[in-house]
Amino acid sequence: MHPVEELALKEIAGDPPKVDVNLLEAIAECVEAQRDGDGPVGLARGQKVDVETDAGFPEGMDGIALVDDDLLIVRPSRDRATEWLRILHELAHWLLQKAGLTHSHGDVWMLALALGAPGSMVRREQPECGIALAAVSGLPAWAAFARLDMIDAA
Amino acid sequence: MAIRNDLLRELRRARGWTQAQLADAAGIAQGTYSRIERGESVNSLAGTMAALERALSVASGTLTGDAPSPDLQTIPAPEASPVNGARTEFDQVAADLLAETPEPQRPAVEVAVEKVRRSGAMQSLDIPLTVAGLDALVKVVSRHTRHRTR
Repeated sequence: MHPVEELALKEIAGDPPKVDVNLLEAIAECVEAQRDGDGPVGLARGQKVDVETDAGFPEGMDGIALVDDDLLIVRPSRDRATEWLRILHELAHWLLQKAGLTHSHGDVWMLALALGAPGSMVRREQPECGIALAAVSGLPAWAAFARLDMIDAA
Repeated sequence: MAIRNDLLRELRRARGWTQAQLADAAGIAQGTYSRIERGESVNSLAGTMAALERALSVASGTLTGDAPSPDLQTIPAPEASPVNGARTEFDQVAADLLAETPEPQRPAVEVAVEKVRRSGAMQSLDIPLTVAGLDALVKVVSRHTRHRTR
């Protein structure tokens, strides 16, 4: 299992949620409706948030969301899906902090997955499995499977 | 006597404490505490268990599941939970970094440290908080925010 996958699934399962999942879904839909361009960068741009990359993060860190600067900085990756997920994760941090919502890291991952594959996209595409959702959303396969599990549980 | 390490982590995080803060408050070594929270040392001594429950202000038997878990929503916010003078692990590491920073660069580093603090990025990770790690992150933040007008 990829370390990020392991961490994300552990935090989704282990960190008690502090934000109602319906609110997370609503935030994701709202951000999707305001998108300004393709991919996660377009989602961020719709919120007037810039995305930049930097390879200098300390080990164990892949990004940071700077609320006051409206800036997300992520570690670049040769794998597009991995880099996209890093942006979505930091955008989720930014959105929850900007909204002043007390949140757990599990909430951040749940919102990141919802941003990557909003409920409206899932209803429209009706993917049969995580692989199909990964293909239409650009999420890594494991994240797409986790997103479908999240929807099934709701 | 088996500690529920998942509950221990939840209670600590609900208070906004670092592992070092809780270990300090309970009077146990940070390495010991880390092993307990990772589930590598769940069969802990009764004294350690009691110290952790006292530090967390929960009923005896909470960490073994013998007593009901407190409602996490009712636990005071981090700002209202002073632990040993409320000097956090981040504060300590930031102070060490600033002490190592030459005077001419210090104001810029202070600004970047504050941005990192406000992001909560390093405090929320389960990686060791070190001066080298904070220094690397501060450099990343400085590179990208130095010329921003927002």
